[in-house]
Amino acid sequence: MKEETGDETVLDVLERRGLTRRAFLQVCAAVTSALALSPAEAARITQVLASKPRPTVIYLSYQECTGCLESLTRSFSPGIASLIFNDISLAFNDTLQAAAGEAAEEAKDSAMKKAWGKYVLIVDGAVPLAENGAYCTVAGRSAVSDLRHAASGAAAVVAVGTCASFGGLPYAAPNPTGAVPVSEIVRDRPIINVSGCPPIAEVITGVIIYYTTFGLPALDRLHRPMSFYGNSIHDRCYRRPFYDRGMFAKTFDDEGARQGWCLYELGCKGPVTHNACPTMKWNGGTSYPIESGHPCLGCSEPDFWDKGGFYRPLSVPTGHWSRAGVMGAAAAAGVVAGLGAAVAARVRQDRTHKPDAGGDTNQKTPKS
Amino acid sequence: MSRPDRVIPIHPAPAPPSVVADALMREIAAALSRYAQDGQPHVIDLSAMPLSEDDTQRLDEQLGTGEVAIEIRSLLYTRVEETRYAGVWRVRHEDPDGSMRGEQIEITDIPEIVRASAADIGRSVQRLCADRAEEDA
Repeated sequence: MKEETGDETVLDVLERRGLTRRAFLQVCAAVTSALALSPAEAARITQVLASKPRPTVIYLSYQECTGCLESLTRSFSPGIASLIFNDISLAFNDTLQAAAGEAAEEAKDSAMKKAWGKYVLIVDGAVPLAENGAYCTVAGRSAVSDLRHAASGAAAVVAVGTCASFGGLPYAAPNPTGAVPVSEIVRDRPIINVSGCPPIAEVITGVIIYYTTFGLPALDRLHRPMSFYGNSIHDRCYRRPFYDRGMFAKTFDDEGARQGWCLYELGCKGPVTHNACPTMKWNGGTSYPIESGHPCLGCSEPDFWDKGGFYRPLSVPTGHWSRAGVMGAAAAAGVVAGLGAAVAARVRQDRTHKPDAGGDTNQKTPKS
Repeated sequence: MSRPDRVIPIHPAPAPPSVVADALMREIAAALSRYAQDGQPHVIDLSAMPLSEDDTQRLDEQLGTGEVAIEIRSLLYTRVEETRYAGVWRVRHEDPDGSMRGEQIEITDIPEIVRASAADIGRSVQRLCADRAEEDA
């Protein structure tokens, strides 16, 4: 983690370590590549990283499973793109640091004090409000009061993961702890939501580095960066041509599944899910869930846990209506095929489930 | 337990068609003639491009290799190579473990990263003088 200094730039830090300007240019090139910057931004990055004080990043975890931090630290590009984040900027992270107990709390306070008003606060996890926040406390302090305090000294807040962004699993019905997303508590700071369960590692570092270099990125209506969440999974899916032709896998082991047809009827939430999975992929660009034959769960959308079942087809193909104007006739035919498929799949599901239970096909298990 | 008869083959994602290489070559040609006229350097970041394997191969073939190859061993390992067209360079950055961290095509006389910067030369002057003084003492 970073050493204690004033308004150093990334260039200063590298020089202090005895590295030359060539090392600095290498960092700039790697960041440009990692963020897939536009030519205009790429031209500016050298100047920005040489002149702008490096950011202080404070990472706080509340009601979460540490899956987001796992995604981040197991990133396949731990080298240079995260160098700015890990080595140069990260001032506090309770899970990664060696210090414990009072020493850890002291480290947090001093990191905040030193950069008060200027640091980037990363929050991982939802925040429970029930019973005065007693469901999540750190060092005798509730998550909600800890977050209020930390956010009041932050320049901006980055909510990492679906829990911090939209409540996620803690927020799922019946939400016994009264969990809420960060945006319910922090209202007077810019918030960037980096949703996903977990988010793609390169997206987490990318957003943080982008913010600390260029400032707030363009955000969608759910406050997610457009550069990573601008397209739906469906829009960028390599199986989209099968959807457009109405070719769907009906079960996980039929001919359609073998041939890699569209997983829409198996409950794919791709049409209503915005994320970068089809383009950035997972595990160092290896693949993404649909490529492994599994429908998208929609984990980067609000309430994905409560949307009526991962394997239940969407009732209406909604994700691409806004693009209807630019779609060709073949694609338009696909919409109709999709609608028909949804109805057919629902009928089939109801048929298979109704005889024994007759109730809600989603929550009934054979045992009950 | 392995049951080969139960393995469900997954249809691989089809490779994207090779169209980017041609577009890139056109951009390089335009940038090089601009550079010849007004000396304005140009950088193309390849990592932002959806290059297929076919694209990469065609780019390699068309750009070829020139007379100069430079290795930079700094924070990263960088290889700077002239192409068969003078003024067109390929710059590749790798981690110590060999994984690619970025690749650019630069249209200029000498890529910026090769030059020793004024600040580095200044620090070298100090270091060299200090080393000399130590030796003389």
